[in-house]
This record gives sequence, structure tokens and C-alpha cells, in this order.
Amino acid sequence: MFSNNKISPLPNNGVVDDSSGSQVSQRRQAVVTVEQNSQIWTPHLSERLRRRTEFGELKPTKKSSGNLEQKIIQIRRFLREVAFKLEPWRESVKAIEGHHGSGVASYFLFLRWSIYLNFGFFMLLFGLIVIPQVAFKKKNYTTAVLGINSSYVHVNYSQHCSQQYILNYSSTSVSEILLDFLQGTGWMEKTPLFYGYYEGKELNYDKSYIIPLAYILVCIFSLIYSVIMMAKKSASNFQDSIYDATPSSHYQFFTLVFLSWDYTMTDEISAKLKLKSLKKQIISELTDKQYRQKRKNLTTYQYARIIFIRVLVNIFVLLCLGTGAYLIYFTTQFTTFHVKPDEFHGHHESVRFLVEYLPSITISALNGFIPFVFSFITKVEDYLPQNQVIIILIRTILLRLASLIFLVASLYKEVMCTPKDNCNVGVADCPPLRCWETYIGQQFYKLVIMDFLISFSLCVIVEPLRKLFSRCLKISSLEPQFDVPKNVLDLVYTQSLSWLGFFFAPLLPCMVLLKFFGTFYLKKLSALKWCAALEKPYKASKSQSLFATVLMISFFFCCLPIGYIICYVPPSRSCGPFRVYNNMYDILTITVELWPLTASMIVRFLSSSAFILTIIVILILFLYHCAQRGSAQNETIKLLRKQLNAERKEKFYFMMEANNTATIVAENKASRKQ
Amino acid sequence: MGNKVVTFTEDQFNAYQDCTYFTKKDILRIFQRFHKLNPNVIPVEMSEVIASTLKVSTCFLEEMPEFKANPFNKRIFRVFSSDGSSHLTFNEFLDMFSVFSDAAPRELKISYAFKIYDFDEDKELGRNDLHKTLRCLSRNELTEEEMSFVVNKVLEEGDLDDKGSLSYMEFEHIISRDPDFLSMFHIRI
Repeated sequence: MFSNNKISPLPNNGVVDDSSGSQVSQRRQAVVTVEQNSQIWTPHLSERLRRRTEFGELKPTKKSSGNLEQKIIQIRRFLREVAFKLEPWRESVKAIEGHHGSGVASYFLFLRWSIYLNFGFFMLLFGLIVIPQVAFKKKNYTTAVLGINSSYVHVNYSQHCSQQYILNYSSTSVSEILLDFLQGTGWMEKTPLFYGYYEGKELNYDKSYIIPLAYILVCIFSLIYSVIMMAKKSASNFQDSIYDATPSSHYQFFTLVFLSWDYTMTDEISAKLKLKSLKKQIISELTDKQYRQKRKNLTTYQYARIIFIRVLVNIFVLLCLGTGAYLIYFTTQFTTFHVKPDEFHGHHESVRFLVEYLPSITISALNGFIPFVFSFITKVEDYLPQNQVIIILIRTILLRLASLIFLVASLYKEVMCTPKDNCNVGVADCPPLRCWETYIGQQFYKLVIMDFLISFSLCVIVEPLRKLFSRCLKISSLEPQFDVPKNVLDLVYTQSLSWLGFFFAPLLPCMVLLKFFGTFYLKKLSALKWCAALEKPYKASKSQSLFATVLMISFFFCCLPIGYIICYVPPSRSCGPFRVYNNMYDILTITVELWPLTASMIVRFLSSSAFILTIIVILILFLYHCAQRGSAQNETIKLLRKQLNAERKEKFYFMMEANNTATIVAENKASRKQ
Repeated sequence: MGNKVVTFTEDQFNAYQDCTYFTKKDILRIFQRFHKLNPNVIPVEMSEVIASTLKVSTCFLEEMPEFKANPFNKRIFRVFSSDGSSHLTFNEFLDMFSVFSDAAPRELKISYAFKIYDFDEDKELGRNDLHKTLRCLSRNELTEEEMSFVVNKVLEEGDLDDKGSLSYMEFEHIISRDPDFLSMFHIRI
């Protein structure tokens, strides 16, 4: 057909007819060879195999083969084979892709990536903090405090305070043990799960291991590791999205015709649904065009009305966020102030449990309920359908991030509450937190558990029920759908919990890892069994780059409070690796001071504000340079586009000319004959 | 594989690995699929001659889950069969999966996508081709009017030289900009 070896016929565009003179066929020949040289059409495999034996030609895109190159190719083949074998959940992803298409599969790929991320995260914390501490506890070891003579260290205080940090709990009944497990209190509180367990000393047994230094360095390195993983991820996304230089709305219908069929789909029912949805989409595009037309002809009055409604809705959204903020603040305060240890005995256990879980329940309820309100009110605003989706998404992201920020803020207020006694424990009206880091860790622990319970019950109870009802009552709108943006947001939210909480609960990433692991199977179940195919096909690339961005943003939001706490908030005196220091950051200063003079000078210079400021300025300049280059390249793309157009037209003109000349020549010949 | 029968010689493996985007194991996996299509007829030993001559009929190919639901399945088989018969030999079968594999480069995929949509094989996507593509996609459920509307819009967007058809260059120009194309024009083995 389109093979290279045969001279293929020129496109039959009606310009050239076969009776034209020799000049034409010459030119035609020229055009044909041009098209052939462009190597667009690859011959069939049998033909390629023949050529390989004859000329040693390789793949259509690769030609040369040296000895070294052969070796490299072999190694690469081996690596690919290994990668194929090692790729986890390959079959699952394929099944899901076949059922729902590549958009939903992209969620599962994202989830798999998050599992990798948390696995590395967990290994770092577990191997370098938890294991050394636990292993040393089992042996006889001597301790020493690093920088004992330094002005930052207060050993006596912390010894006195640590003795006061005693937990009174009676874990006799099973329900007590279970409750303590769910709340991270009682017997759970002084386990390696939480910050308070770790010692603020250098442990000596054969070799010495400085727990505080390890703790802070591993935490900082974990954050850097996350950044590297995310950068790698968004770089691979970026490679895809770089092709997206022109806005996709430019080629709306082209995309609809040529890019709507997902070749990965294998499930026949879903394929039928997909085709149906395609038809719907075409019709909706038709109505969309009409809608745009209508929008252009709006009167001033109608226009003002829309603007007015939008302003009102936005105020309402802000009000929602404000109410949410107040609720989170209120419940956090309520829990700390009203559940003092001595009041426990008066209440029933379940009441205590409910009160303890109040902030987590509030946050989860807000995150579950308010997006519904948002999607409802956004309909009133009269946006274009595709903009509507984006606006709902942005508002939901805002809510998720805001709820975490509010939680952090209200916890911060409790921690920084004055007056405090000399053990850094609140007195009078302030909550008596003996170990506020563990307290914060407990909050995040509870949030992760709550988060898991909710997604578990959604997948196992709510969705099957909805499916059942929709089958029995024949109401198709009840049937659950796999909502990619919502699911990815849940994932980002859980990941943020992991980032915010890992400093206070070093085993939290492990819990998140387990949660993601469970989520993968639950969501697979939900996608394959309960959920109907998406009515609106979800574009994989759109979600990938958007969610990578959201993840980045939430990461930096999570870094801020942790960085602030490390640098400025005085740690508890009675627990944790930093109990002897004024600030958590001091351990680094002390370590640097113990170094040889030149080394510490260099470090001091590197961390000085002058140096950092210079770096920031250089980075900004670099950013500016990149942005400029980007826009220049965009200009080039536009130019090339024009050139392509011009060249096509030129070719067309050239063919026309050739045709005309040929006709004239033929006419001349004819007239001469006559 | 487990059995002692030699399906391909080492030479064949090398040749296939050089000419496709597959590793040895991949090729065997594809062969398993091929064999399953019609186990009674297809021998376990694949000599070079058999691999390039023994054809499997379209009706067996269509039963594969990967293609069963695909509205373009017949068209794909036609594109990959060297004689236009839509029946595939093993070589052609392997070639097809190679193009759809994730290791195949963007340009190759685009060129095959173009071939698939070019129903009348004149190297231009004309109105007829577009109509046929739409008909396949919508399973004949669109009215003539709706189809003409969409076809006009597509040409308006993609046809740079106003010739009433899309050339390969125009097609490639747009499709290579779509970040989803690679993940969608992909069949996992």
C-alpha cells in the first residue's frame, strides 16, 4: 500500500490528469520522490525483515548498528524485560483501562506512584529513626548529650520535666485498648509511632548514634526526597504537555473525531457507552456553539445579572469556607479543653471517643458535603460546561487545602498559648499539653484513620447500595460513577496529611502507605464492579498535569508549618528528641559548631542571608530567562505554522502552474499538427 | 512457555527484535495470543515461511478482546495486512502489536493512525474519510446534517491550505500536539 519501494500514485486531487504532457509527469515525479524521501510510510514487517537480511536495516526510525550499539540494545532489552516483570499491578491497570479508558487508568497510575513515594518515605524514616531507637532500647547503652556545655542546652530542666510526663491509663478491657488504638492515646502514646517516644541523646553502644541529629536530618531529607520524586514526575508530565503549545480548544472537533476513541478500551459494554457518550458530546458541542452565539448577543441587563449572581455565589463560597474554618477551630478547642484526663471517668467511653474524633469527623464531613453544595451552586452561575467543571474543582481544592490550614492554625494557637510553666506546659486557661508534638501527631493519626474509614465505607457500603438501588428502581442517575478529579483530590489530601504529620509521628507514612495499598484494591473493586463508565470521557493528560501541580502546591503548604516549627517553636521539655534544646534547629547549630573551624565557617556562610538572597536572585533571573525562551519558542511555533501553510500553498500553486503549462504545450502541439 | 518445542529460532528472534519494539518474551507472549486465535490450525513451530504466509481470518481476529469493541477493528486489520485482505499472518500480527506498544515512537504511531483513518487510501483525509470515521465512531447514529457540521468544523480547524482535505502534514501537526494521543493509541500486551 504505502510502501517505500513502489512508486505510489500521487494523491488524486483532481488537478493533474494523466493526459498531461511530459513536463508535468516530470514535476509529478519530483513531488512523488519528495513525499517518498520523507520516510513517513513504513513498509510491512515482512518487507523490513527482508531488508534487514539484505541491507542490515533496522527499525524504521533507527538505521545504524555498531558493535557497541548492539550491546547497548541487548542490555536495554534485558532491562525492559525486567521492568515488565517488576511492574506491579500491570494486569489491574490493563483491566481498568479496558473498562474505563485511559483517563481513569491515569488515576491508578497516580495512586501507584504515590505508593512508591510513600514507600521511600517510610523506608527513610523507619530505617534511620525508628530502627536505631528501638534497637538501642533493647540493649544496654550509655548516653551523652551533644553540646552539653552549649548555651542552647538545658539538661536539668528536661530531666525534671520528663519525670513528670507519666501516662495514667488502664488498658484492661478490650474496648479500652481498641479506643486507645483508634485515638493514639494511652498505651499507644509512648510507642515509636509518635514523636514523644524518641530520646534526645546521643546513644553509645559500640558506635554512637545521635538521635536528635538523625531525626532532623532524616526529616529534612525526606522532604527533599519528596521534591525530587515530584519533580521527576512533573518532568515526565511536562514532556507530554510540551506538545500542547496550542490551546486544545483550537482543535475541538478535530480532537473529537480523531482522538476520542481510546484504543485501550476492551470492555464491550463500556465501549458502547463510550460511543454513546461521544454522540452526546458531539451534540453538546453543537449546542455549545449555539450557546456561545447566544452569549455574544447578551443585553447589558442580562450581562449585569450574570455578574451579580457570580459575585453573590463567590461570597457564598467564602462564607462556606469561613463557616468551615470556625467549625474546625471550635471543635479542636472543644476537644482539648473539655476532655481533660480527670473528666474521662464521668463519661461513657463512646462519648469520649466521639469527642476525641470531633475535629476529624468535622473535617471529613466538610470535605464530603461542601463539594456537593459547590457543584449545585455553580450551575446557577451560567458558566460554559467545561469551565463549570474546572471552577468546581478549583473550589474543592481550595476547601481541602483550607481545611488543613485551619486545622494547623488552631493547633498552633493551642501550642503557642501562654502562660506556660517552666516545663513548657500550659497552665491556667491553656491546655496542659505535656508533649504537644505527640498531641499534633495524634491529630493527624486520627485524620488518617478517619480518612481510611470513610473511603472504605464508601467503596464497600455506599457504592454497592447505590448500584443496587439504581438497578432496582431503574434510576440511572443513582448509579455511582468513577469521579477522577474527586478521587485524585482525596489522594492528594491523604498525601498532605502524611507530609504534615510525619514529623510528629514518624510511622505515619507507613499508615498512609497501607491506606494507599488498601485504596488501590478498593478502588479497583469500585471501578470494575460498582461504577458505570464515565459519561464524559476524562482526558488523562489534563488530570495528570493539574494534579501534579496541586500536589506541589499542597507540598509547599505542608513544608511551611514544619519549617516554622523547626526554627521557631520551642519543643516540649518532657519528651522527644529535642527536649534539651531551646529550638529544634539548635541541634544543627551545635553540630556545626563542633566541626573544624573552616568547615563551620563555610556552612555559616552558606546559610547566611546574604548568600541565600543571592541564590534567590539568581534563581529568579534564571526563571525569567526560561520564561523568555518559552515565549520565544512559542513565537517560532507560530512562524513555522505559517511557513507550513505557505509551503503547502506554494506546492499547490506550483502544481497549478505545471498543469497550465502542460495544457498550453499540448494545445500548441495540437495546433501545430493541425 | 514450558514446552520443549522451538517456536522461533534464535535468528528469527534477533530479526524480530531488530525490526519491532519487542523483547524476546514479548514476542513469545504475542505468539501465544496468535496461537490461541485458532489453535487447531496454527502450528507451534513458526518457520520463517509460515510466519509470513499462514493467515488468520478476520473473524478470528475480531474476537480478541482488544479489538472486539474497537469500531475501527476491520480497518486496522486491513491496514496491517500487506495484501489488503484483512487477514493477518504472524508477521503482520506482530507488527500491529509493535505499533500499538508503548515503546513505538510517536511518529510511527501517528503515521499508522493516519492510515487507519484514510479509508480510501489516497493519502489525504478527505470528506469521505471523515464521514466514514464519524460513522464508525457513532455507529451510524448521527444524522447526515450533524455529520456534515462536524466534518466542516474539522476541516475548518485542520485544513491549512483550504483544499477540502487533511494531508498527512496537517494531521501530524495537530495530533502530535495532543498529549493524550500516545496513551490512547496504545494496546497493552
